[in-house]
Amino acid sequence: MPLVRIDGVRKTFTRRGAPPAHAVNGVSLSISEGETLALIGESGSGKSTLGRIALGLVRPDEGEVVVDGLNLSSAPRKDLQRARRNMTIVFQEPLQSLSPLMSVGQIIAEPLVIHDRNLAAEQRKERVMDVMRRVILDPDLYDRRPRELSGGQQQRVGVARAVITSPKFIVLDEPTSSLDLSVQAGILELLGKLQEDLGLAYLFISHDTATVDYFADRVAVMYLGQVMELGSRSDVFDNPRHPYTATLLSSALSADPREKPVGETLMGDIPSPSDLPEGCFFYSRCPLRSDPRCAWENPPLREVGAGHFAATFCELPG
Amino acid sequence: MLGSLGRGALSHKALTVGLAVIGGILVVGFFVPLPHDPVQPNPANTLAPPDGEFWFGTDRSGFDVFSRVFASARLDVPLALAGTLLSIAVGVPAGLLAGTKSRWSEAIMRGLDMFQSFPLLVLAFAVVALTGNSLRNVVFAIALVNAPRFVRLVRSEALSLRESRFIEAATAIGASRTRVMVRHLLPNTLGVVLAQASLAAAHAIIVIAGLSFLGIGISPPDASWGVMIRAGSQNIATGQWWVSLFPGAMVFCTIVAFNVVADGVHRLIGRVED
Amino acid sequence: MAPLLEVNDLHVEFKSRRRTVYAVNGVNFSIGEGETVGMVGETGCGKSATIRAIIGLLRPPGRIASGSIRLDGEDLTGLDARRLRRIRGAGIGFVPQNPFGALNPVLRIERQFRNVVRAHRRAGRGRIREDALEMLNGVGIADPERILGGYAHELSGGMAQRVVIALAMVLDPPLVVADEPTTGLDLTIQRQILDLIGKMATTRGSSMLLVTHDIGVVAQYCSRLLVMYAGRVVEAGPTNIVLRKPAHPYTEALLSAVPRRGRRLIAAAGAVPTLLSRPVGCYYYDRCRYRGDSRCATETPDLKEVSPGHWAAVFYRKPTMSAQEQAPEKATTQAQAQEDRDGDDAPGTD
Repeated sequence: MPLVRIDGVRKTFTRRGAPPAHAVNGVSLSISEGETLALIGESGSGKSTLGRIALGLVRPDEGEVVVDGLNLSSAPRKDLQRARRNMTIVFQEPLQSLSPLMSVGQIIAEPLVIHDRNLAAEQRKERVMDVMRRVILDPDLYDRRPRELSGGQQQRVGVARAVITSPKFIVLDEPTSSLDLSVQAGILELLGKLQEDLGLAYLFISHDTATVDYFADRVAVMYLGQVMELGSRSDVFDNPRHPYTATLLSSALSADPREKPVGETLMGDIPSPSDLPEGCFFYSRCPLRSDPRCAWENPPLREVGAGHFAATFCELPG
Repeated sequence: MLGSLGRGALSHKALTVGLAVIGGILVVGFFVPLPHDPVQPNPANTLAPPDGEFWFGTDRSGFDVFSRVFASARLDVPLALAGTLLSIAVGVPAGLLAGTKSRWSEAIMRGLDMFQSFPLLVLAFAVVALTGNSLRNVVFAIALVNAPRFVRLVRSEALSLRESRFIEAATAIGASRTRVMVRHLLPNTLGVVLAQASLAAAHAIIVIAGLSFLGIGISPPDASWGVMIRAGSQNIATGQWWVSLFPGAMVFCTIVAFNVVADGVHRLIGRVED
Repeated sequence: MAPLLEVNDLHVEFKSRRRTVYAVNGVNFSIGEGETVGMVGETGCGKSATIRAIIGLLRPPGRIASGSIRLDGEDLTGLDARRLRRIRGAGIGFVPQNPFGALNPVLRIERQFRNVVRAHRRAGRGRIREDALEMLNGVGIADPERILGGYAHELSGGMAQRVVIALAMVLDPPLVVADEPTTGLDLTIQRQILDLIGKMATTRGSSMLLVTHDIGVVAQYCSRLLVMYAGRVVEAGPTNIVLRKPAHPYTEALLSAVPRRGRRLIAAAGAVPTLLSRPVGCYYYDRCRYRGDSRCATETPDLKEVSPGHWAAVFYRKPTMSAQEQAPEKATTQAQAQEDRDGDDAPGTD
């Protein structure tokens, strides 16, 4: 029984004056306890929306999400609020995600104030101090405002707030992509250690293949709100079967000058989520298009190896 | 970064100056012994031009204009502040409620539209005139005029704050809608509320002056700038300019001071770029 | 032959009444003709201030405190505003990070080409249009006519960046400065754009200064590399040497923070100095894992050549590297380094 089960989820955003945007178009995934599933994709791939759906922050139009036995799509609001001690999120923009007028101590303590109401103030402060030590934040920062902290410290506050109630599941929405390389390393290391210590399951959203390759157990490659390929990290990265995965990986630039990029540069832009293609979503940019069905039929996700899935008619040789 | 520090210093200066002017007027009105009794007419000295004894001259009842100008501050400024506080007390919660996605929001906004389709100042005058000439009603009148602005301001702030990440973060850790409103939205709207409050206070000064000019609210011999301007209005044509000029100047100074404070607050919370 | 761009002992300060930030503290480098040089560094390393000084867009309170910037032998630091405007565009093309900030939202793209060209020379509409079409073709835009007649907001991020590149290069400047040209673009688009910039530079013979925080970009697209830290160039040399055998401990730390499967990431301890005063001694002293004797604490190392064409601003080389240039204090250095490594299991707060 997986900890998180996402089943046939779809979401379309409608806004006055704009065409409807089909952000998530039929996604099914599951995450086990203590596991890191990475969602990798470019802009418009719907990965952030899917992350919010996985926490019940956005309600899907179709499909359902079950986290730790609770069906988020049908649970009453009170139950959903209570369940948030078990599941939460760390955002990409650390500063914007912290309430600007609250102190670091207040921010980290807030989940306790909400979920453990009868905790005495001293105990609460002790728990906050514990967590601050755990995420390696100087206790002197307790009374500071978020603005006064460095980017890395701000993100540590965000992580501390997320783990103080000992949750089981955390969505990491590009947690390091606005940080400098050396700061990113510290945050990734911290997240890895917390996962080991607390048995956390992560949904790690990223556009950076190198970080995902470093951090994830399993990888789902998203494109225009669909999962194109899903499998273990080594399945997807060493043996990609979907042409999109292959081109995405070859677009990543290695920091080692000896590892030259291979393959063709992917031409063209990502289609708009408001104007989805009829056949395979990748058709307009695909270098292969080797099957007559490509233009007309949207290929379903098929198992191409044990636990390795790809949604393509033009499967690359394994 | 550097620029914002420089701006910070500047805005503090404006704030300090504005608050000092208002504070100064109040201190003189309440604590500094005035040269003459502001409510004691002196028939021996009517319409005397400014001189060594009567610094701002006297009016046709022989009141000392200087003493009355500052004595007026005792009534006018606290009334203005009380009215503003009342409009905040009503307007801010209503605005927060109107900034939610609920049936309350619609109801409040439609009600406001209807209410604001009347000319509010006239409505305020009418309310005081009809409900009785008491100071309490003056405060109500001010709140009536100003509260709608607070509702709309807080609502628009709340709506834009709702899009921010930290509000999403609060929801994600399980905060209830009330908690999001009180702990996260409310504190972050207080900056603009404070700035708007200074503007509202300035406006309230005008409302009070207007009311008392028309003989509503405060009436002689109680000192109020509006009463004084009215008393002197007949004398302007005959050359006794000082009777109306000095209270008019005081109204002007107070309004400018409140506006400067509002501007300073705006700069302090980073809403105005130089 | 003299290099195309020569930056000599450049100092940039941001001076306000309250404080002074010493953003750039003696930067030296040069770019030869046809060369593509990458400049890498993290937030606050002075790379933006350096390139703003080069393109003459340093705004008060920022100012060049001392040093020279020579383009084709001419010092740009002393030029008046008019002459500087001529250099900008015709002498140096600039590709900023945010293309939409560089494009005028209310003018058609064709008009913007006209404005750029006519700021520097007389030219007829037809001629400019031809040039613009050719440039847009060159940056891989399939239907340049449509783009020329349209506005910036109709473009995707990748398209807008192509247009900006075309605008920056339409006057054939000998030097193009690109400031994080692909940050914020998707991976597949990033590669398109970088391939394009490279191709354009090669075919037109331009030199390129590519500023980025992404080591992958430098590794794949630049022949030479400058590593900046705290307003100084701490290491410079051919990309494949610097990235494979870094001589400066900062470069080494930066590289060991690049995520890679199966490797333990090493987070750097300590923080970048605030530069509210010029640090005494080596600017990297506080965070250095190899720091040696008091010389490191009192003297600022200048760039020196550690192997042909490879320069580093260090007194002591990393102990595990070649034995040459090892100071007599080798033993202590090694011991210290070992100690630092042991105590480094817990990353410091940033």
